Amino acid sequence: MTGEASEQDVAPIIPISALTREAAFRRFSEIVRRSDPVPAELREAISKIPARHRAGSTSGGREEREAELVYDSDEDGEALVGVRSISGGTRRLSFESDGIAIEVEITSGGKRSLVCQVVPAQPAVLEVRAAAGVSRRLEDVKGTFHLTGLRSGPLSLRCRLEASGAPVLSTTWVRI
Amino acid sequence: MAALVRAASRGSDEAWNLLFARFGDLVWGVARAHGLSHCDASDVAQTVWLRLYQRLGRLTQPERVGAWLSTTTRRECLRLLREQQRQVPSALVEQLAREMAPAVDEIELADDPRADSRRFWAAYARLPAHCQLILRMLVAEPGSSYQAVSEAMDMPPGSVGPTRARCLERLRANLLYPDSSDGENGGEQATRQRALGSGRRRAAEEVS
Repeated sequence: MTGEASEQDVAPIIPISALTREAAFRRFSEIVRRSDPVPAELREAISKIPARHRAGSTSGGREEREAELVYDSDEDGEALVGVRSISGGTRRLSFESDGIAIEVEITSGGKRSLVCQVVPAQPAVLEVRAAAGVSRRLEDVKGTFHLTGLRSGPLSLRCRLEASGAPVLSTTWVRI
Repeated sequence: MAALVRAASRGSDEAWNLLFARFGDLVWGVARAHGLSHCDASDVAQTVWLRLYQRLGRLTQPERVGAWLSTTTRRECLRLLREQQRQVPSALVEQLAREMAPAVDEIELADDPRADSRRFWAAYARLPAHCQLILRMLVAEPGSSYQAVSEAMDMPPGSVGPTRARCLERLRANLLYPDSSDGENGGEQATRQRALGSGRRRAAEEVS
């Protein structure tokens, strides 16, 4: 699993000309585990996901729900070959939950910039979450946010609406 | 497996780590089989695992979490590749080839594990993309049913075994004939011709 096997762990070498299909598969498996294992830093980052989630949870007793990804312009481009060039380096994402939409536009190229609009417009607090935790927290009376200098990687937006009793919405994790 | 997912959804770190121990190689293997760099594959893998954590309590079929992970990873890889506006590449293999030992002659290749690795990666690089993916998935899921593979590749479960066999046969052919230009497209006839040739090559090696 760790892929840390030493060369001494490798099965005895059979001349390639004598390899059966299954022997070739076994040998290829050993080679993959030895030379392309899951990186240690990734292993550590994923093991910390539950702890980071608990530490970063700021729902304040409100119910937290996922605003699910319902539209991704990159997915749209799959069916409409050539359309992507029209939008240039801009990706549009829509997330929805309970009649609330979070519309996002990400402009790529080096560090990303992001425009986010809560629909219907209303006062909201937005947290930008990266793999390492909450990176920014902003507040706007109309639920409109503009961020620049975002690094590529996993991203989720957590949106707390001012309306009484409204759930805290966390968008589906996406890679930007 | 469903019990593990449910335990993780209730906040068990141990269950979460067991899920990763069980499927970490699968997610990584799918990402790397799409030719993603270490950095891109890590981003994709983190996104997929974060998404799983977010949905643990809402998976409609928690017992099929492996299939969910492989399918989600593949979709994210394809989206990234579209974003980068490039074809499915062999960046992984090119990178690994650079990291491996320098070229040595045929006899040393057979005896040296590092050179042996380099030869396998070179043979793998010449496989069609679907073979690269299926072999990496099966390396990560050696004892499983073919469910995760079939769902990620959108093929009937009954096709996985025969496809695996054909891909391994191509891998063997590419190993035997590293300089053959049609290795990735050779059919049964070409494979038979190569097999005939292998006898001649072995004989030549023995003579030398």
